[in-house]
Amino acid sequence: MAKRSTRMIAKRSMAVALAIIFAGFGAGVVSLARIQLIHGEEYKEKARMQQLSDTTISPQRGTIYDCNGEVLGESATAWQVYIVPSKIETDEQMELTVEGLSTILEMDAETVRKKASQSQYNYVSVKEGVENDTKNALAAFIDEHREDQALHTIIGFDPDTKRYYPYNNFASSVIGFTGSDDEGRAGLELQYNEELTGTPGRIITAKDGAQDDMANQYESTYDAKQGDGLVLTIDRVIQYYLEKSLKQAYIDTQAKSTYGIVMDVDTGAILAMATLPDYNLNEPRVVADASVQAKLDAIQDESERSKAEGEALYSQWRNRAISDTYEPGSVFKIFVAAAALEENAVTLDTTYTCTGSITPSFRNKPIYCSNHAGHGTENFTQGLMNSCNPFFVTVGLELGTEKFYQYYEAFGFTEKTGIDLPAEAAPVAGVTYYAKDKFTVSDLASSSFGQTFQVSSIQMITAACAIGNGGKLMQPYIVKARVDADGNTIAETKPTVKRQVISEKVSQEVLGMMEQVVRGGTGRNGYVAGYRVAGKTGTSEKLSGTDASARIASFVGMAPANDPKIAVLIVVDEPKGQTGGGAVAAPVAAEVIENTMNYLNIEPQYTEEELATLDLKTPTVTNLSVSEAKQKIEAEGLTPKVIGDGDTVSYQMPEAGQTIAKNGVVVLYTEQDSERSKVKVPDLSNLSVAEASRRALNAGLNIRIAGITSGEGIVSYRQSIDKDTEVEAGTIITVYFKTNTNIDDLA
Amino acid sequence: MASSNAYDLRLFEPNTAPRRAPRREPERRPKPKIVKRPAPTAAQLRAQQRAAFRQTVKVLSLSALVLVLFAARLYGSARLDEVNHQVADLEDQLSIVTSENTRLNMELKSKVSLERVDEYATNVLGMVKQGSYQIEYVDLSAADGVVVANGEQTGNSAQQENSSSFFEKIKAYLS
Repeated sequence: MAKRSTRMIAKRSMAVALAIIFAGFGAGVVSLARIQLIHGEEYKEKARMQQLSDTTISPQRGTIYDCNGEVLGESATAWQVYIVPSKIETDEQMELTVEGLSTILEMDAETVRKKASQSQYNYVSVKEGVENDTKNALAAFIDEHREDQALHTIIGFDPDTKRYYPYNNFASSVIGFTGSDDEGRAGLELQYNEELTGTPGRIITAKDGAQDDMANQYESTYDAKQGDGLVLTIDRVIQYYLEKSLKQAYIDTQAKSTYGIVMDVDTGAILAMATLPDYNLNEPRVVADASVQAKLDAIQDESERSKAEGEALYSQWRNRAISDTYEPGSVFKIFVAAAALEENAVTLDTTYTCTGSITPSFRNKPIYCSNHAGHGTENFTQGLMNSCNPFFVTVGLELGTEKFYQYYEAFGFTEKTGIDLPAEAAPVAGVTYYAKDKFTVSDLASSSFGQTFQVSSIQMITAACAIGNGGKLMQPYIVKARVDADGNTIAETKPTVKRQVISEKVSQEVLGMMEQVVRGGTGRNGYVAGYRVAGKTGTSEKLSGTDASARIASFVGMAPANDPKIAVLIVVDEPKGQTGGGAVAAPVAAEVIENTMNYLNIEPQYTEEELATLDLKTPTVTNLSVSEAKQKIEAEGLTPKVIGDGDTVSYQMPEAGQTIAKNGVVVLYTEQDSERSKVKVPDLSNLSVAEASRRALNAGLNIRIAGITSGEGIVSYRQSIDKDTEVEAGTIITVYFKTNTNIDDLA
Repeated sequence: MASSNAYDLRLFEPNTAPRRAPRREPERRPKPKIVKRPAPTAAQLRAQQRAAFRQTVKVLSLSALVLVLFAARLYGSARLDEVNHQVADLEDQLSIVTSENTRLNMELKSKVSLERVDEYATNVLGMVKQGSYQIEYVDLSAADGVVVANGEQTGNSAQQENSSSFFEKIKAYLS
C-alpha cells in the first residue's frame, strides 16, 4: 500500500512537471512563432535600422562639352547649410545666427531671420551650393561661438552638389540649368536628365551599440556611377560669333528679341544656337534684364510681383529658336521656287511683268508688291531677287494647292523636326498652318509669299539646308555623342536623312537664284567679300500680335554658295526703326558668315572687283630718314603725318604690315620717347564710305571697311571703337557698311 | 616396513566418495617485490632537470607564440581600422580638393572666355583680325635642294643620300 501511493505520487509529480515543462516550452514556441512568422519582417527591419547604416552616395552629374571638348557645364561637391530653429533658445543665439549666416553667406538678414524663427522645425535649409571656402568661414564662425552660444547645435552642413557653367550666359537657352535637387529644369539639362544623372551608390555598414560605424569588414560599398557626359555639336567659337552679332543687333534695333541658328548643311548638326535676351546659367532665377527687373521692383502687390517675376523668368529661359513660331515672310519663297521648279510649273526663264500688285479672281483686295510701282518684266531669278509678291502668287497658283501642300509637308513644316531639345513648338493644323482639307486657293495665294501661317526657326533652317545639300531633309541634332566618366564614347549620333525633297538639279538652281539675291537683290547686305553667299530676306507682319506695325525681320544664308557648308538663320523680333530683313537681319548674318568662314579656314576667293577695293599693307618705314619714309608712304597712295623733330623714324602707326585703307594716314614718330599722340574717335555712323574715310583721316585715324562696299545707298551703321574714345593717332577702326536701297521685301 | 604410497592400492581404487568442489585457495599474488630504485646519480639528475627545463621552455615558447600571433592579429585589426579611417578622411579631403579644383577651373575659364579675350585683344592690345595679305603661300612642289659647303648645289636628294655615310643617314633620319 505504501509502495503504490509512493509510485502514484511519483507518477503524478512527473505528469505535473511535464505539464509545466510543456506549457513553458509551448509558450516559448508560440512566442517564437509570433516573432518569426507574424512580426518577422517588422523586427528584421528594426534590427536592420538599428544595426546597419545605409548611406546613399549621390552620383556626380555628367559634364557637358562642346564639339571640341571644352567644358560648358560641370558639377562639383558643395555644401548645404541648414539650421535647427528648435535649438535657438535665447535672443543672443538668434542674433548671432542671423548675423553670421547673412554676412558669410551674403544673404538678406530678414530672410535668414524668418527661417530661424520657425521654432517648430528641427531642420530648415538656409542655402544650397555653398562652396568650400564659404563653408570653412562659417565653420570657423561656429567654432568661435561653440562654448558661449552652442552654435554648433544650431547650424550644420550637409553634402550637396553645385553645377558650374564657366561661361555664364553662353548658350544659355540651349544648355539649360538644374534645380536644387540636381535635376534638369530646362534645355539639354532637362532633355538628357536621365543620362546626365547617373546611378546613386550605397554604403552599408554595421553599427555598434553606440551607433558608430564598425570596421571595414562589415562594410559593403556599391559605388555610385557618374552620369554620362554629353558632347555637343555646338562649336564654342561659332556660338560666340553668333551671340556677339545677335547681341549687337538686339542693342542696335531695340528689338523684343533676336535669335539665330547656324547649321551644318550636310549633316544637320547644330553648330550654334542662341536667343537674346539671355541669362546667366549660374543664376537662372535672377532676371537678367535690368529694365525688366526695374519694372518688377515697381510692382507693389506681392502676389502680382511674384506672378510677373515668374513670367519674366519663363520668358528669359525660353529657347525661341525652338519654341517660337513666326510668319516666315519672303524667305518662304525659296521653297515655293524649289517646288515650282521641281514640278516644272515654271523654269528659270519664266517671266512675269510686275505692276505693283495682283488681284486674283477669288480676292476682293489686291496683294501688293514691296515696290508699289512694280518691278516690270522680270525672269524667275529676278523675281526672287526683287522678292516680288505678285510673281510668287502667280507661281503658287501655277503650282496648285495639292502640289503646294505636298511640298509644304515634304519640307517638314507640318511636323516637329524632332531635334533633341525640349519644348519644340508643335505645328497644329488649322492653327499654325492650314489643314489640308481646308486649304483654299485664297490661302495658297498668301502662303506663296510666306504670310498667314507660322513656322519655327528650326523648321525653317532645316528646310533651307535641304535646298543647300542637294535636296535631302536632314534630322537636326545637337548632341554628337555621350561619353562615360573616362571620356569613352558610349553612343554617337549619326546624320540621318529623313527624305529626299527635291532633286539635286533643282537644289543647284535655287542656290544660284539665292546667290543672285545677295549679289544684286534684297539680300545685298548679306554680302561677304571673298565668299559666295546664297540667301533670302524676309519681313513679315505679326498677325498674332496686337501691334499692327510689329514686324519680324529674318534672313537665311548659306555659304559658300557653290557647295554650302553652313546655313545661318537670323530672326529679329519687333525691331524698332528699320524693320526689313534686308536692313536688319542680313548684315547680322553676313558678320556671322564671315567670321565662321574664317574660323573654318575656308579661304576667301576675291574677284577682281573685290581685290581692287581691298586695303593696302602698311609699308615698313621705321629707321628710315623722315624724307625717305614720306616718299615711300606717298608712293603707296597714303598720307604721312610726322610727330617730333627728329630726323629718323623711330616708330610708326599703323605698324608695318597692318591693313590700311587706300588714302589712309601713317603717323611717323621721330623721337624715341615721344608721347604717343592721342585723338578722339569721331562719330562714323550713317556716312558713305568716302565720308567715313575722310572724317577718320581728318581725326588722324584709319578705317577698315567691312560689309558691302559697292552699290547704291551704302551707309555705315557701326564702328568698332565707340565715338569720343581716346585712341592713339593712326589707329585702325573697323567701320561696317550696308545699303538701304532696294532691299525691302514687305508690301 | 616403510609405508609406500606406491603399494597402497586404495589409492588406485576409484574414489566413490561424494566429491566436493575442491576448495580453492585464494590466489595469492606474489608479494610485490619492492626494489628500491637506486638513487639517481648527479648526472641523471641534471639530465632530468634539463629535460624538464626544455619542456617548460617549449610550452612557454608555444604560449608566447600564440600570444604574439593573437596580439599581432589584434594590432593588425586595429591598424586596419585606423588606416581605413585615414582612407575615409583622405577620400573626404580628395572630394573637397577636387571640388575646389573644379570651382577654380571654372573661374579660370570664365576669366579667359572668348568674349573677354576678344575685348582685351581689340580694345587693350589694339589687335585686328588676320588679313589675307598676312597669309603667304609656300610652293613645295619642287624637289628638295641642297647647298653644300663649297657652294655646289644639287637638285637631287638621292645623290646626297648616296654620298652620306651610314651614320649620317641615321642622324638625318632621326632629326
